[in-house]
Amino acid sequence: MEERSMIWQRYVIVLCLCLLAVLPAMGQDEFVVIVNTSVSNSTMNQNTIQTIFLGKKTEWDDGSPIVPVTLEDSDAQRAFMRKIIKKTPRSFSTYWISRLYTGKAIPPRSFQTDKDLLDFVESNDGSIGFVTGPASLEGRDHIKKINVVY
Amino acid sequence: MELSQVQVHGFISQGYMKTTDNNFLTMMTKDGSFEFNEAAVNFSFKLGAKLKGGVQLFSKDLGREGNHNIILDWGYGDYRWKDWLGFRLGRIKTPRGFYNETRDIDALRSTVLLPQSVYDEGMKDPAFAYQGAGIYGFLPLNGGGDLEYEFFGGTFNVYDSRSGFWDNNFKFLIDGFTREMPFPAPPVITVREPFIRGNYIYGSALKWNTPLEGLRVGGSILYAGLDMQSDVEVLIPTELITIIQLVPINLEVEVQDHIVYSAEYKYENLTLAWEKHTNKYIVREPSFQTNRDYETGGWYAQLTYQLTDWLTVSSYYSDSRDEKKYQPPEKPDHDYWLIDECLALAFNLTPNWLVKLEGHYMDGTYTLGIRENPEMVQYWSMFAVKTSFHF
Repeated sequence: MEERSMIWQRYVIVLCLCLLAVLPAMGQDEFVVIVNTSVSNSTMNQNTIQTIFLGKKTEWDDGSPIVPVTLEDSDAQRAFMRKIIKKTPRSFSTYWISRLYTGKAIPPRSFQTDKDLLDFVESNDGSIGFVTGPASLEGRDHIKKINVVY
Repeated sequence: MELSQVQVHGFISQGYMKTTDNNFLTMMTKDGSFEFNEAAVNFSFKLGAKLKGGVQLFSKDLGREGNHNIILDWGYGDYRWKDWLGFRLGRIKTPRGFYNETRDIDALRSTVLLPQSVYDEGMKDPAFAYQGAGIYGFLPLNGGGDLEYEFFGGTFNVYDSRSGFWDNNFKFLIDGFTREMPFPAPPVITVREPFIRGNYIYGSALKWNTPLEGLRVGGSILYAGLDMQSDVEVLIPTELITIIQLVPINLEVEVQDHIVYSAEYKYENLTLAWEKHTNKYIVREPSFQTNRDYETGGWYAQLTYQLTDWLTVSSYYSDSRDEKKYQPPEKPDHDYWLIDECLALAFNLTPNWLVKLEGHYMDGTYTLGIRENPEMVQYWSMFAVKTSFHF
């Protein structure tokens, strides 16, 4: 009986250690969605952001054009695609090839680094993008973070 | 108005096809054929936030069809007034099924050939693109997914009706009229390079991206009218002599309901697709008093799984059926169907370079060309390899 209790204790300890290892990663944002401050929204739901990056929604609620931009191959890009777009980076790329090669739409512009993307969003009204989280927006007066509702 | 985001892209592909027993797609595939390639270049641009445009020039060789002639694949202006209402004018890809508009872009699929039951390569031109106008839009359904719709109308071109793809169709339709004529013996009919002219086409398409992530369903319907002209050689055997006549024939074809139902489900690396099409049409020949009405169709189910970043495996079962009504009784049954079982591997060597291998086991001879298949065999196989590069 005592031996069985010991096994349980060990099991609980191992489980707690695993949780401790995982929790910091769970709390950490892999990406942050950002917009130019010309955009009135501070909160957006996942589905709306998905339709923007798939080129289906092209206007903000006030009728001004939406300018989506993406990061090239990175952890933030993969996480954004998985959680928001619900596609792999490859299927996202395939989706846009199909739109482009049939003349239906031009894909979002993409940037190699967070800094390049932040520079673009800061200077372009209506733009929306994502950067590696947690991002520092210090000194970026024309950029704000978006609270994403899932 | 500022001209921005001019983009230039293109693709090039080369394939090889080998079959047993029957030749396929106007190629002499029993001997193996490299006459199986495409190339395209497109230009897209935006003029301000709502107006965009572009053109794609396209060239292909597919057996006797194409022969590297350059055509305007698509070219149109697009004004998106609101997300729920936009307008297009020019030569535009026809929204038929989920994959018609992208069927010439190899990079987008993991098989060399799309299932022929719904995307018959021989009948590509009438349903591929139209010259005219369309309206389209996107409607979010607040928790119910979203809808994409399109209505269109115009005319269409058939670029290569003399290549051989249309011989079978023309002969099939002529057979539908002549078998009831009072010939002393069944005539032997040979169609000489038919000419096809598209008169009109109109229709609509609806896609519903359902609230279940990855599941979309849709339907498209189109109506069309075309004239089919050919000098038909008629051999009438009699007891004493064989009479040979060359008869000019002009068939008027009215496609009344060409419907495609579609469903696709994507979950992580898995894609399941199912599509079914039905086609009802009426044929008139002014010399004959009666019309002929036909109903054909087909369906397929496909499974695609991306095993790794560089390897994708696909398999489909495709079933096409033709109308037996009005046809000569001596025609073999297997001329009325084509069942195609395909297994394919796609290797993404780089993000822009793709190599595909596939094998098909075929049952039936429906859609096979009579010019390159004087004798047809019911059971046959096909192997294809194709490489594509896009930029």
